[in-house]
Amino acid sequence: MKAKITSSLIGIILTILVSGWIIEPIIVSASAGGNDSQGGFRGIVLRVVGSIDNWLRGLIYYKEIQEENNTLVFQNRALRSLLIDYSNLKAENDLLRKALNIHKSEGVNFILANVIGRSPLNFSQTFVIDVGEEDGVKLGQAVVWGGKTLVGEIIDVRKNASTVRAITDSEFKAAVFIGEHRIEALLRGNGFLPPLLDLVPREEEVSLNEQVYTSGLDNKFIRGLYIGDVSEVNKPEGKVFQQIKMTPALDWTTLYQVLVITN
Amino acid sequence: MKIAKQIFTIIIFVLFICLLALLQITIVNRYPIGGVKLNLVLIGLVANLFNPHFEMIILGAIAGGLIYDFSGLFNFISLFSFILMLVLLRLWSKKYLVKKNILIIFVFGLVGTVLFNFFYVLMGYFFFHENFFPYFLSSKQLIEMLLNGGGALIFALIGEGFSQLVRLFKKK
Repeated sequence: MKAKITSSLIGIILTILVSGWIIEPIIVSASAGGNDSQGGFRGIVLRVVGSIDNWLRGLIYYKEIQEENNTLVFQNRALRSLLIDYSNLKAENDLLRKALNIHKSEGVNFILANVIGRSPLNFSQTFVIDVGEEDGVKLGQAVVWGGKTLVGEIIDVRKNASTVRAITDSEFKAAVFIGEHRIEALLRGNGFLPPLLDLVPREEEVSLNEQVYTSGLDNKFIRGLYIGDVSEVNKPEGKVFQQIKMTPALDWTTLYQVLVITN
Repeated sequence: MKIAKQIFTIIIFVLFICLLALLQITIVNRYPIGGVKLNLVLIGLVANLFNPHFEMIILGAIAGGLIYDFSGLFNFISLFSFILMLVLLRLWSKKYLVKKNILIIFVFGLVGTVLFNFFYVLMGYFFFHENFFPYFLSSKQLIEMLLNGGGALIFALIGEGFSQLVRLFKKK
């Protein structure tokens, strides 16, 4: 009697298991629109069996798994360091894309240079770049960044390095136009103070925030290099020229790369 | 043994000045105070002006001046300005000062800045046609003088405190 009950119980359990195994996926796939899912009874069984299998494999192949884990951790670290390199490259690429925003039609050739030194004293506003004579750099060439924004001019060229005088240096001078009316002026650097726009007659009307850009009349820089905006206009009594100050568009002390215009 | 110790002290001092010069062209350069940059090498040299080994200070001036010149206009004006300034200050301090006083370092900082800037401007004008007079005659230089003087005093105080501590430990 007892054996009969036991065998019938086993039979019921087996029937439930088999029917669950076969019928359940059909029901689930029908209800899920044909998607094969690992949910429900079959899923539970598979997960339980899978975890037992994993546990047993873990026990048997413990050493191999540990070695594999170590290798993966090492690979992960290597990939992370590569990722940092890639993100740095991406940032540099974005910067260069921004810097290369010079129209091709203007036929401007340039060399990319890294800033490798800045003048440590208060007198001169100069910095050193890592391109020189061997790269085709010559005295007086314009140095720009951020599209067509003038940063300075080359004042000293050596074999593999050059010195750039920033537009704020007290020795820097350039012929410029102010605003849409193209009012001619002479830009003069003023050290730590804002650069000055000189030789503008009193009769000329200069407004605040007007753009200042190179005129090309000094045969030094090409026309249209943006320099900054007018920040202060004064017309002192008894003076022939106005006193105009401007704010440079770029702060050269924060730059790490620049472009040297070679033609 | 004594010579070896002296050479070691000189090397340490020159390395210290080189470190100051490197700090100047990297960090200090980017953070002007009141629109003016400190001159760390000048501060380091002036703070050690009472050191009996004058040749050590001159060597420091050569190292610091060269680093300044290589990262600036490459005209070696800083180097000669440092040397001239130190020689003048040393002569002045030897001739007129009877007793060493730590507060005098502040005055040396002020005078040292004026002398250094004066020689720099003069040599720049005569040899390289650079006009640095606007800065030399501006109020910015007064700020630089005060900053360098204060810096030299702080450096000297730190040095004095350190040597006092060493003496205290040696007595014990």
